[in-house]
Amino acid sequence: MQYIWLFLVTTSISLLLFSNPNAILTAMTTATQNAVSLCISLVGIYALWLGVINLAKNCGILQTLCKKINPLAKKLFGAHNDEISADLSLNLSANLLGIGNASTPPAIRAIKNMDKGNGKLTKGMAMLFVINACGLQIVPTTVIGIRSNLGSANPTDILLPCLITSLATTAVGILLVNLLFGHNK
Amino acid sequence: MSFFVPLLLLCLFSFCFVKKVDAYGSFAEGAKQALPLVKSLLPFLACMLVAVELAKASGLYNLLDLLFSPFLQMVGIPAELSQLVILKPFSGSGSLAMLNDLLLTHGSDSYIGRCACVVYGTSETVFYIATIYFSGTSVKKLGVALWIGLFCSFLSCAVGCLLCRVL
Repeated sequence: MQYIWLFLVTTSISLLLFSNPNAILTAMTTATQNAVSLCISLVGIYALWLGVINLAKNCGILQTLCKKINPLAKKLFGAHNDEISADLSLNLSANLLGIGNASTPPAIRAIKNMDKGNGKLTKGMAMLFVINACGLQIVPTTVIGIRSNLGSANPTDILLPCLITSLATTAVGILLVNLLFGHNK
Repeated sequence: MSFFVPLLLLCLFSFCFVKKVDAYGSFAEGAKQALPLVKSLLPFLACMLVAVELAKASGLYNLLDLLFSPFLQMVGIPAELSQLVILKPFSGSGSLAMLNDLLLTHGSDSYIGRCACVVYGTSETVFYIATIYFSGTSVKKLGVALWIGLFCSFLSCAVGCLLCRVL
């Protein structure tokens, strides 16, 4: 990660020094400002979903859901304590339902709690990251929205290829993590 | 589809009423965690966006595009889509704008248009996810995991384009 970052930044700045040196600082400032406005909108989105999640927890729905999904979560991520498994189950179910915004906060919390502070990436953390990076989603709402906006004859006809593709790559991802992290649990 | 999530929420709120749970208090309690969570993300997001914005301004993306597009064509990804495939791991909003462009130029029901939709819908902003997931942890090196994520994201582009030809 750090090398990719360094590579992007140094090459871009070197390129810009020749072509358009004025743009360097403008681009960097715009970027950090964008980060702030992105964060502000994220606070709003996360506040909504963390609120809803806490509601579900307090009326007992979350616990029922966890019991249903827990066997799957245990198989994928290995055994964890109740708090972590609850977050993992939430992340899985929000992803499947296509509520991407609701899946992120529990994932961040789960990874924080799985971290033992020794800087080591465990299999559970890697699995959570890879599954989310594969973007398994039953209904890609954004794409369908754009398609119908632009007057597509059949906005939903990409559903099937999307679903098959993401199922296949998620399976490959799970397989790869199991192969490469099988030794450290 | 637009009814699904609201209905789910309505069920949840009604269930609170039945179970006599303090819905107002519980919601506020949960929402309280949002600000500290996002506060811990901000520095890392700023870092990543600086790199993305610089690469965009300097034309580094076009260079990467020139470099990778022959290879992408070898695995069956049309040349028109190589920029989208390269941009997607870095920037969600950037690639969304690009998807919009592609659909406008090629038409949303063309082969290119459908491929673009599948590429956008099935690949993820891998670097963004890596940044926000691991920002609060002691893990600084993602190593293999990052490559698995990128590989899967790329694989879904190739498989998606292939499937669009058949389906």
